[in-house]
Amino acid sequence: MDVSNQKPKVCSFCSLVCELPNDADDLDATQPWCIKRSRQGKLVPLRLANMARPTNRANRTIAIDTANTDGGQEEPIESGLRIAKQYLKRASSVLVTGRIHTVESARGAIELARRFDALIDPWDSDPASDAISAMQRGGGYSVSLGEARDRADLWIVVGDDSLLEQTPRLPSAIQRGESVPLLLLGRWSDTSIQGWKEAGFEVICIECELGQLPKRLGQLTRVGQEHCESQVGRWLLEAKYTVVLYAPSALDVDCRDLWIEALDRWVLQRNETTRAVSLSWGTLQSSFHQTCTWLTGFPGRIRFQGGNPQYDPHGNRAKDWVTRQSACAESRSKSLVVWVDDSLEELPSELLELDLPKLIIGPNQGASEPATDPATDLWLPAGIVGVTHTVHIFRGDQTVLAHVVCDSPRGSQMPSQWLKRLVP
Amino acid sequence: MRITHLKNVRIVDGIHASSKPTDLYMVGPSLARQIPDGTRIDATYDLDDQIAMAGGIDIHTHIGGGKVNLARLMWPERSAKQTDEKPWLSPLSAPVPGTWETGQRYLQMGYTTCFEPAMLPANARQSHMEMRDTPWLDTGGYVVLGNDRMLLNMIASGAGQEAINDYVAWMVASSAAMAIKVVNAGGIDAFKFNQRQLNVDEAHPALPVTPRDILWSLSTAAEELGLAHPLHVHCSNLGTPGNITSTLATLDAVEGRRIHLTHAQYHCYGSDGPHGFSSEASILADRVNRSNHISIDVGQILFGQTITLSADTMHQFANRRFASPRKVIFQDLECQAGCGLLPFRYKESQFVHGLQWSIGLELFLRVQDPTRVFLTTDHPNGGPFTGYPHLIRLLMDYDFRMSIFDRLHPDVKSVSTLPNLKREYRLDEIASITRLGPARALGLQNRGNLNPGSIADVTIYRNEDNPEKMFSSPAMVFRGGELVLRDGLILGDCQKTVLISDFQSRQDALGWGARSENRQRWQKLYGYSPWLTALSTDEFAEEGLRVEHARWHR
Ligand code: SF4
Ligand SMILES: [Zn+2]
Repeated sequence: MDVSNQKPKVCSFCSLVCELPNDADDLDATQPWCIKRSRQGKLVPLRLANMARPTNRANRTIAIDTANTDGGQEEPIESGLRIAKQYLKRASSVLVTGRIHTVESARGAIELARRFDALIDPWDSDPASDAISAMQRGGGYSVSLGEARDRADLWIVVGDDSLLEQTPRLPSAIQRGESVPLLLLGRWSDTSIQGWKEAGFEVICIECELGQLPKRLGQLTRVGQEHCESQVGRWLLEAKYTVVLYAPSALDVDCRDLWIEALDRWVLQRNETTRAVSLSWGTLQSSFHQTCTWLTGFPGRIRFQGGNPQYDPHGNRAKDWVTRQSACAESRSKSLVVWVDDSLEELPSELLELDLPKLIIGPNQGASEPATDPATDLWLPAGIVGVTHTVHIFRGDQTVLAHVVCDSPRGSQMPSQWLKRLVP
Repeated sequence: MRITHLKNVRIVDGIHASSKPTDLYMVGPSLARQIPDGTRIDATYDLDDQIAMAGGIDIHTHIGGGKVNLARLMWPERSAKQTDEKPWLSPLSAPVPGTWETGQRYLQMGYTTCFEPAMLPANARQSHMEMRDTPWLDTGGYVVLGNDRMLLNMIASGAGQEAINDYVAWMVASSAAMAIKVVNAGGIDAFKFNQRQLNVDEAHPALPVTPRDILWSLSTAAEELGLAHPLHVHCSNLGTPGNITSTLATLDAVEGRRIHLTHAQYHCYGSDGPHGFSSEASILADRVNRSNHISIDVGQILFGQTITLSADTMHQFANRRFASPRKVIFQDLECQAGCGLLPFRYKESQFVHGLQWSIGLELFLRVQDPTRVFLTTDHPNGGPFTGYPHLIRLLMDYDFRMSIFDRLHPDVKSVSTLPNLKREYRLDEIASITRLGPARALGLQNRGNLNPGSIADVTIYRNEDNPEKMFSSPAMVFRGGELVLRDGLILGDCQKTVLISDFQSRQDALGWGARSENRQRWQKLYGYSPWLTALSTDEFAEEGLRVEHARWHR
């Protein structure tokens, strides 16, 4: 028997990496899905399909048009590479950043950074970096999605609506088909509360300031012991396997790292007598952090020196690097931002407004209009993860590494292919 | 085909004992003892009586997968690179380094094949990916079973051995594994139900299943499926005083089927003596000496800082207060197992650590057959793999051994029988515990020896009086007939191979996952289909790896 024929289709639009129904036509029948089929037959997340076509691609960008080449036309790819190599050659200080969501892109980006003694850090890396710092200081007791789904007899879900915006199907993914108590803490809209209920949980929502939460959980546990007549108290007292679910990227708290550390302490402490775990849900960027850790020993925020990685979680932040480089005219001209993008989202305006040369490697989201203006920026268009190319993506619990096999490989280059060819 | 001639070389592989220098040829990727007259030779090295061994094989070293990566993450501090002339002799940059450093340092000791002993089925793809990114080594992994709720349910419901065999075949094949590893049978799952200890005949808190049932079922499955390597067992009661009882019960549980006990040093403790902790290495060694179906690897401890990592959450959690520095990471994983990580410092001055050190050496010295006891530190648990040359010197040099023994806690000196063990390992015995034995235990006929036709992974060691020096910096290493390392310096890349077990008595090991009743059960337990985490051999090809199947030769 051949595994490849049996492999399920996997959605790569968020870190839940849901399996898609076998038959594409079942997609609408098995609600609620958060993706749909476009007219061209591609799967697109609803929230992106509803978005206006990105218009903010800098008009100073040369877009190398490789769309629909089916690998046939060598010309645009070769000329793109030639120009990109010139950019790299000219730069004396390189930042490799972006939205790096696959093992393949991560490998390529890290190798490029190593060869050019660059700094590498994904653009929105603060949530992951805070979670990693908390873990490096105090550790914790965590759980994978499947284990939590099977064992939990009490869920404590912390955060706000943005958790469900990021991973729309999370409630159904953690529901094992029976009514389990779920304590929603933070700020949740009625629609979200309803969503958790519809997934089959018995929900109590307590609106609270998240900042004080780890402390409050300690209090609630004590209250549970003293006043077991309250429902929440009883849940906490009776629970034999408590799962605290949150996403660092959907946590609106100051000092997120300290917050996570305090929460992990509470979880560890609870294990002295009963069982409790945390499920810290990562974004698609987890694939970068995992790959970077095994390749270099560090999760990111590294600067290569003589090919050796130097880790500095505070000093090597991408956003600080661009601020530093932009501040001085001399360093501006010698800098280069290599933006590696596996997402379909618009480029952040803070990036586009930067007065630094940029080399953008990312999906070609529409007809490309080669710019007329002599560019400081270069766009190397890439295919769409899981749609035009097969990749590996970590699920948000970082236990399952999904092999996202695309339905119809097409000629467009993946970021990893561009990156490989840019390495001298 | 490229032909290389190694001239005037002394062959030491545990099989051939050449007393005088001889010729060895590498014809393409294979070894030969002679070649037809007139054959064009591409390279000749006159080795002047230097020693040729097969590439080293590490049967148990944690080099890839979720918990290995957590250990890297947990330890962001890096020792400053020493300004040593020979950087390959300096300590690892961290207890668990990145994949590149791992591959490089193994090669620099003359090792060419390594096995990750604890792949979680759900995480097998990551384990293989990390090993793929570990250059110069051929690799394989053992899939962790025996705490997977699906198996426990099958045993509890009396599904029968035939059904269990089908399921085990699926788990091994879909994880692209070399073997089955069982870690604290049933105990990791019991801990998820808040049970803090589980003896071999004690039932799981939620299911009528004992560790003995699990060991019996899995060892039977390994045997009946004809897997290349026997059941690879991490016993119950890891590191607990008096655990020799459960270790012997574990050996009994498999009722004469082949079994490999891993990091046996941690599993042969008594509870006597001034600190309630004593050595029962002689009991375990006697048992091994009397039973041809048992092999062990030692899991020697080496003094210094490391990180211990294990799927055995139950016992890692029990040891949390020994973490040094004080931080701990635990995970419950996917209805299959878990992991626990504690930084740990082994100290000469500490009674327990000193005795653990001497117990490991006792095992090496008391087991008679060097093809059934293998050299490991259970990297990184007992210490880093870069300590192997030091460990080899401890085995080959009684006086050196005693010079360290003399520095240990005084109570170790009063209770340990190590000074009575005067045995000194010979070079051919070192070849057996680092090459020949592991290869045989893994069903790798064409590795671990220098037989004609075997893979041309060859390490050339200089004759040195000090074995530590000799084994830490080979003169040359060949991979598949190509010279890839000379005097510590790496010369080039090599083709990598992933090693997977053959099923001697099974045509379609993946059939289980295609049957609808199994798909439904899997979907119900995990929330996804069995094929989401299943690996296909195409994936290895996509990653540029060769696949080689290992076979059990009955
Ligand atoms: S929740 Fe995420 S992975 Fe699942 S279908 Fe929606 S976008 Fe795709
Ligand atoms: Zn181990």
